[in-house]
Amino acid sequence: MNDVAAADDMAWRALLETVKEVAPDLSESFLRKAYEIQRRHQFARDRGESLRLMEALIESEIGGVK
Amino acid sequence: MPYKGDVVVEFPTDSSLNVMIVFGDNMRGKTSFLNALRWAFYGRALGRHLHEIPLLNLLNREATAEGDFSMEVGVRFEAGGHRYDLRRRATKRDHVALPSRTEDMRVDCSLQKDSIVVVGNQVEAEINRFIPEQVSRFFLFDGELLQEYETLLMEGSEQGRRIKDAIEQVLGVPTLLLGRDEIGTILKQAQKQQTKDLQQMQGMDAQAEHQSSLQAKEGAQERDIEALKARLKETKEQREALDDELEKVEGVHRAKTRSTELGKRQAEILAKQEGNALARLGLVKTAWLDLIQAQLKVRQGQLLEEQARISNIVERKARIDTRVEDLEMLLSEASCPTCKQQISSENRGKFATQLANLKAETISLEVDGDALARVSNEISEVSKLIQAGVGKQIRNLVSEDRSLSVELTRVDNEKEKIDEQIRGYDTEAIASQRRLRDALIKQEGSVEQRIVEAERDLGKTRNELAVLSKVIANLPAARAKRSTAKVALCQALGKVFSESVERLREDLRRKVQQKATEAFRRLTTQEKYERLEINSNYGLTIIDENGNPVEVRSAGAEQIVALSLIDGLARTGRAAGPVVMDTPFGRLDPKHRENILRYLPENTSQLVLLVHEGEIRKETDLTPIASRIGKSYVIEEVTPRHSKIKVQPL
Amino acid sequence: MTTISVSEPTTIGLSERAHGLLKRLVEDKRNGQFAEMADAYRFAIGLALAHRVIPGEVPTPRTTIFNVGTLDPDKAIYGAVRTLVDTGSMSVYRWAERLAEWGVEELYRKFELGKVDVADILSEVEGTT
Repeated sequence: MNDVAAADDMAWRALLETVKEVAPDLSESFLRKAYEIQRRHQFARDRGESLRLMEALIESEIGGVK
Repeated sequence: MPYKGDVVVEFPTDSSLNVMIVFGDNMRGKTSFLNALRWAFYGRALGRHLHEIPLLNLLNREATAEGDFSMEVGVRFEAGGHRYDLRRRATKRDHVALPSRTEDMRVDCSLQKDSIVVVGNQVEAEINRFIPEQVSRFFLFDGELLQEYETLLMEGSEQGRRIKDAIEQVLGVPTLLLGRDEIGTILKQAQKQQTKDLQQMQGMDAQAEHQSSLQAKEGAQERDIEALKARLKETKEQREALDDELEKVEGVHRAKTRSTELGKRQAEILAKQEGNALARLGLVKTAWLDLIQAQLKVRQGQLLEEQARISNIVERKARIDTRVEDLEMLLSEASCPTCKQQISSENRGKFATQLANLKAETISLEVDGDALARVSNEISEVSKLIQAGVGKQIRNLVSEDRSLSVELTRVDNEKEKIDEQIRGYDTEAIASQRRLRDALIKQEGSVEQRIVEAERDLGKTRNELAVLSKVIANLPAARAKRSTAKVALCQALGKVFSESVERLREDLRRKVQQKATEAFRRLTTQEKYERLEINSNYGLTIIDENGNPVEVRSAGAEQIVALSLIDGLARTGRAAGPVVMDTPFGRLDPKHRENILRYLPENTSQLVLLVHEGEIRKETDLTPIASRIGKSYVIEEVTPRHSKIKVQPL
Repeated sequence: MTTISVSEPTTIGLSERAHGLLKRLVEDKRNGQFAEMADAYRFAIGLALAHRVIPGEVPTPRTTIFNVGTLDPDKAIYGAVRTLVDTGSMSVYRWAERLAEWGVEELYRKFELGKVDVADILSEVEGTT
């Protein structure tokens, strides 16, 4: 396997282990989506796109709360 | 860069012939070759201390003098089963006559993947899939990196901290660090919105006010930290510039010490020669006797013979005299004085004849009593003149003097050369620069300390904000608000990302340790070394077979450990890929060099070595990889500002 | 050997010409082989003895240089000449003076050819004896 992918896997494992201890109520699928956005943009110098996507993800997770 | 016009270099593509060697003297273009690749992939070329070289400084001077301000680097490569064609081109902007700043230039980058154009904003991401920039320093590898890593291995060293930052960037993994930062940005916005919402809600003034003031405080603290970091950067740059200056004159200082030593040696030699000259003059006073020793010894021999001859005569005469006396008494008494017997007339006749003969002999034996005394005196006189001789001592002094003269010439020449080199250096100015540099180091330390304190304070503020958020979230009126939900979610997500960073760092450090150990065991010549252990500064300790740290390490061992770390980092950050190394062998002994040359081609897909003849001799040192060399080039000087790369079969 | 009673001089010297040469030999700093004139004078005598020279008269004008007691305090020169040479009716020191005259000329000849080197001369003489 490409070791960047392996490193990324290690990053995901670190997130999974941490969320259990620190924020067990956080949904795993939400965390995964957040992680994927960051992973895809990890080398982008311009952060605008990833910031926009993260905000959209958070908004959709909050859902119908006014 | 010293390259001008079209330069085409083909990398070897056969996996069993995956080594390329480029020979070049210092300052001819090896590092520029490395930077050309770096610039092609990442749009940046790096100089000392990882500082970016301004674009204008990359252009070839001869070309710009001819009015040509364009530069292009193209790389064709394969990765992940795809063929890529990357081109990065810099040209001067149309309206600019003579570029004088980076802004006067434009840079275009294009990438084709399997002959299909990759859209502009995806180019960077595509490149970083295979050769992430954060890891690039570990496979576009220059000798300075090796030295910096060696300083890293000294726990707590100042330079070590600098390279630690570079490693942290890799091991932090951008995914988590950037995620944490972006979530923080969204959180701040959410909190501002929440404050606005609270302000509009009845009975929530206090919380709104509190949150607003904390947010303002947070903002101010963040700005302070930014300012401090900018100041730190500036101070570091000033200090690094001074370090470079002082490094040059460190050489001067050493040269001056050497010159002083040589001066002492000169004085010693001259004093010794003077002493020798005086000793020789002293010996010469009696050297005249050496000239006649042979003759004196011959004379002595003659005199001793004469003395013996005269002594024999004297002895013989004494014996005869005694015998004559006896015979006379015998004849007068007519009887034997011993037994008292009568002597017959026959015997009397015999004795009388004997007596006559003896008396005749006595007469013939002339004894000159004075002669013996004279000869003995002369022998005594001659013996006083015979001496051991000073010739050998004089010759030894002359020989030593000659050796000293040869040494003196050598010492004189060396001192003159050194004095010439350091002429014109102002030692007071150097001392003053040193003091300034030391003051800057202190200042750096103090600013760093202030940053640490400011970040701690910022952390406290953020904690207070978090606590307040929790309180607000529990208030029924606020709970219903979207902004409250958003703040809570961002805080939770941000905390997860933030705390994952350290966990990931630990995991990656372990992985680096494991891979570095693998490399180290292949590279070291010392079988007793069992493994490497990594500390929090990414310093590596060698652990021996008893589990004890190896305290004292040779320069060669340091380099090997550093290379192992770099290899471990590179392979943690990405798959085995091409490695380009610029002068990595400077201070390695032949055995370690051989180990590295055997190891690298097997652990990289392509190995490019940029070397000069001082570290690798074509004829002998390439044997470990000779069978894997696919291409060999040499960088040749055309003019002092123009080099060309040409194929040179080994 | 017949003992003839000959009176010995109290001073000893060279021809004026040889005296000049002797001075130059000793004062030449490049040379630096002899600390003082007496050393060179003695060496000249030794050299002449080594070559078994029968020296001629000291040319005039002649000049006195040394007091015999200063030059030869332990009478080594006296002893050496008397041992190795039959000076006949001539005094030992007069003979020595003639030897010195020859020796100084010889040393100066070497000096003009390049360098007077005591070590080399000693080796030379050792080689031929």
